[in-house]
Amino acid sequence: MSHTATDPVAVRAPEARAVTGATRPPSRRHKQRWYRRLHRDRALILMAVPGMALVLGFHYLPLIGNVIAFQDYVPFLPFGSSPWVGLENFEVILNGDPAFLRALRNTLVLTLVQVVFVFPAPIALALLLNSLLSERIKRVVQSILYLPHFLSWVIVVAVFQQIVGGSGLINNTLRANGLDPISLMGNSDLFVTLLTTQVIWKDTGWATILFLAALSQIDSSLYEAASVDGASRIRQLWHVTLPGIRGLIILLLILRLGDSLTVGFEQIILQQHSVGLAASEVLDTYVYNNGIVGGQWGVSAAVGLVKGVVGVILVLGANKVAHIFGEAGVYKS
Amino acid sequence: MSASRRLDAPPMPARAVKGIALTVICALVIIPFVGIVSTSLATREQVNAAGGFVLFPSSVTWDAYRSIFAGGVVSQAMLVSIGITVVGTAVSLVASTLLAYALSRQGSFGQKPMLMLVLLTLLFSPGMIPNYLVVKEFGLLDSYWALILPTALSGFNVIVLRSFFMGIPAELTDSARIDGAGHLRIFTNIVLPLSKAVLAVIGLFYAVGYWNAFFNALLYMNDSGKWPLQLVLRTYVVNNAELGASDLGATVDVVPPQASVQMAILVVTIVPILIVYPFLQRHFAKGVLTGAVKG
Amino acid sequence: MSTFISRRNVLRGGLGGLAALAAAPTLAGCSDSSGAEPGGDPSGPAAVLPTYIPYEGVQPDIVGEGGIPHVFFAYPSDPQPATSEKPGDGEPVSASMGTFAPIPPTADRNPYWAELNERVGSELQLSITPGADYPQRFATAVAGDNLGDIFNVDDSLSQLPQFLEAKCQDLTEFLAGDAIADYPFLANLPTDSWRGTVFNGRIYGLPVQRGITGSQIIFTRDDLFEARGVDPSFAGLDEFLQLCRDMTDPQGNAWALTEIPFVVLQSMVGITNEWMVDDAGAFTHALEVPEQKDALEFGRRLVEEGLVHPDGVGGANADAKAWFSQGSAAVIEDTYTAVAGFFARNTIGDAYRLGLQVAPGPDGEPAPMWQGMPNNSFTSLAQADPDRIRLLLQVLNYLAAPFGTEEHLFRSYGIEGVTFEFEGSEPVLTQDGLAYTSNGAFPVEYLVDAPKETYFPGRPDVAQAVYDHQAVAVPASSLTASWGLYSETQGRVGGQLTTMLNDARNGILLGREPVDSWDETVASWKSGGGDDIRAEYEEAHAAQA
Repeated sequence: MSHTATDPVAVRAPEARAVTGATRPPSRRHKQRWYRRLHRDRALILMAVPGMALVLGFHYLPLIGNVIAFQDYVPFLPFGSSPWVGLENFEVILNGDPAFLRALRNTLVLTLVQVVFVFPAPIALALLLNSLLSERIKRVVQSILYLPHFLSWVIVVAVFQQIVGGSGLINNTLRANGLDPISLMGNSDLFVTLLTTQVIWKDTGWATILFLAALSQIDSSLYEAASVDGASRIRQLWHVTLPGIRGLIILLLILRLGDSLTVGFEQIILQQHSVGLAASEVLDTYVYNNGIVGGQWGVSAAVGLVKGVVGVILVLGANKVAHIFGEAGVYKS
Repeated sequence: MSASRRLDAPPMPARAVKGIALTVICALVIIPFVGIVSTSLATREQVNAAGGFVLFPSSVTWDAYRSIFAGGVVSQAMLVSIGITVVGTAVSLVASTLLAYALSRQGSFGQKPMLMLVLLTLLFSPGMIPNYLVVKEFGLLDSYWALILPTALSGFNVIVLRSFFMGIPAELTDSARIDGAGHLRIFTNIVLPLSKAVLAVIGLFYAVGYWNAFFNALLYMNDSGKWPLQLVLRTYVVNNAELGASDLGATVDVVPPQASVQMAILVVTIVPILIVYPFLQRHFAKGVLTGAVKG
Repeated sequence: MSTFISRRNVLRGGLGGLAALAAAPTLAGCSDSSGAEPGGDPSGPAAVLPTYIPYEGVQPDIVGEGGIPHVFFAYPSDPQPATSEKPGDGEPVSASMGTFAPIPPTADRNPYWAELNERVGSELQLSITPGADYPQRFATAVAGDNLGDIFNVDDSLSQLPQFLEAKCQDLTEFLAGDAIADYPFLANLPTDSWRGTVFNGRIYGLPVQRGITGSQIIFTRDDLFEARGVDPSFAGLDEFLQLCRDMTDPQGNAWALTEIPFVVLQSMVGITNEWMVDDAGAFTHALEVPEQKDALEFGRRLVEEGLVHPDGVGGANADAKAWFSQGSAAVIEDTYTAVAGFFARNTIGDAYRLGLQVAPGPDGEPAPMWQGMPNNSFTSLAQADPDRIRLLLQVLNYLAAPFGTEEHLFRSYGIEGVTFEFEGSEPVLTQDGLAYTSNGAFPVEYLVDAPKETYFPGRPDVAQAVYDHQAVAVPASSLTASWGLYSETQGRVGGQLTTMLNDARNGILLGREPVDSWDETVASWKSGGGDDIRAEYEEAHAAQA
């Protein structure tokens, strides 16, 4: 097995090491003409063809359909013949409607809370599992904790209701003992907490898988060296383990930021009615409640476009920041 | 387990804290699952007495499972799902790893624009109707390929694979190139063997994606005989399975309670994953120790 | 057999039954189906409506009148065929629909479906979708022009009338007036149902009929009431509040109500329906009348006093029926259709007693029950030549065979010995039969269906009790005045307004907002499209008169 993979996820300046052919940057670009580079890299191009064909055929081709963002789309008319309406579909976003701003604020609050509490959870769990000595316990624990990922939100919400709901396990026990019940599920003040807890419960175990894969590729000789040097376990964690998965953490964080305007649509719409829109409306539910419900396809396409543009800005911005700190990030230009 | 690790095993109190923490976390997950299995096996009396969710069944009945499997729709759909998952995962892994390798070779022809295109798939998604029209134009309606090709390539998975591939030390690939190895040989002989962990994980991501998918089948498969398991079962979960039967009055005695049927469905969909999972888990849950076993 | 239903309350409510008509409120429902026949005004565009020709080949045990379904205490013995030839011509017929039952095995492995193809005389190629997902399936199929010969229409599609005109067959010449006599089982469908299929004065569809059985009423667990020594009937809001208090015991995990019975509460404060029209043709929505705030105030009080199941206060809880069956709530608002399900969930045998309460209005007479929508949905045909259309209509006619005919017995239960057995006079589906027929709700019932009759196999007392309740409640009931009228604004922003209204209502009921905040909600409803919707309904109503 590998004892050479010192740096599994390209922590630093990977282009210095990854090679393409005989020559290296930086002057290469100007010296070689494009058709010579094409000829030189033909094997790589061929390898990319099946994947790129799928991307172009099943993603970018239908993506052309997003022009309905500028149309009053009528499904039964031939494609492209619906009336053009300019930016009318964007009005829902641009008109500064208080309900929209409320949804935007709730979305950003949820994203922030989830980046702070949900994102690190699988990292912590992966490190905890990794520190276990018994291989068997590690596997058993891990294969229990990934299970909730396979429950749909309908079921997760039902499970939570059985436990913390108004007549759930906890409240029934309180009542039976003459105590006052606690409203956890229908309480608008605790809605963010509830959602975050549910997400952590459902997906933490599943999300550890990727980090475990990264951890498994860390060269164990590094630990041995650290151990010989008398490094404590905490120091090993800090100087060997974390650097080994830092690249992956940053990559996933950047991709998560690109999704900042998207938070658990299904999870929220299922629990929205009892806490009220003021506390629970997020961007996706706002679009659903105000656009999709009325069959306004153009509006949902328009909001999708705006979310995409915001995502691009956030991803490229975060990527830039990562580069400043010497990280590979997601994309190097 | 290596001797050196055992020597610096953590002190007792730390281990105790860890043990308690893990036990609590596991209990929080397991108890609802015990409830799911129990409810699927509970009688109507128990479901009724518990108001839906049974934690400890006092007696066991397989009626819910019998009802799901009656008529053969579910077993047929299970075969479809297994086929889609196996073929789809294979297609996805081949296309994704090849593409990820090509994108990991910085400075090669077209590498940057292609990487950008893959990245942008994460941020812009086509709408449901254009997707449908494309699948229809390709003549894939009612074809199993309609359940595979449109979702065969996940930009996220490609980017993660690429990131792992880029972590493979350049010395290894450089020296192979000097020996005259082509990209395909480097890919199959050096990169893939060194990436078993991430291949297992990405393979699992794809497989679970295919296994859980129902929406494309809903749109693209007119013939319900070709439906995958999740879509067939959705007719029980989002619909009220008792409803049709209630119209006929007394005959509902034969229909098991809705809660049991729903939970039995969960069990039926999760069990195949439970069976496959340990085989994949071997590859990524080994942790640091395995690296110590030097050849 | 012991009495499962307490008849007392029903009978008590019956005392004031007829008087209710005399005391009709000023705002009456547009369609008053208390006449001998459910009928529409035969002048103007409504003239296209098919003639109602009730099928008289089967004799019910009680003949329902004024929109009340017929009652059958047992399945009619020895059902006779009502058709003589196969409607199909051997060419396949394709159809799309959503369904709310499990999907059946395909015809090649389903003896029932195979036999259905055989009897229809054409292969039925069904494209089935889970009901909750049908709007999306429908929208894509519309965009891809891939609907098949017959399709259930998702009426939330924007610009519905334009779609019908552009893509669907105008059925007026085939079905209007006496032309429908060619299709006797379709002629057996009530006129109110057909009114839901007329757009711009033309018939574009066939109704998937429902009607009175979808009306919301109050059910009580009379066995639980008796155990606590409480009378489940109530003569007004005060008595209702008191009985809810008496039936609530949080420490014993018992609450009076599963959810707030808001439809019935509105009728009890005297609101006659969602949309109401006066003699001058002016429309009023339930939310704008002053009584609406009385209903809100009362609903809020129920929550405040803790009389509603704590997980049901937010409404729309799928477990409500379970709580009622389990006994953690003793009162539920539900439809007549739910009755069979209540008994199916009963696990305490003869001890279980279900009460159907006639809710009193402000004057003590039966409250104005809000009738369930006449149709579940409607079905349209793709444009084709007249011969093909006639053939498809004959196929649909076959599928609408009335209760008690040999065709209906087959359609609902399949083949004796394979999918069902007779237990006494009652057909009962076998385990395989349930799977083959989608629990007896084979998806073609979402293309067209026979009128739903009142029939509870083996429980004539239940059928009698449902009829007794309807005999009192239906004459005082009405249909929303907007039925059969189309409003473009409603199609465009109706869903959005409903979300807004539900949120505001929940905010008040749960005590987050004061009752007076409702005035603001009404104002934003009006400016957000409510007034336009009203104007469009008034215009459409005037055009029909």
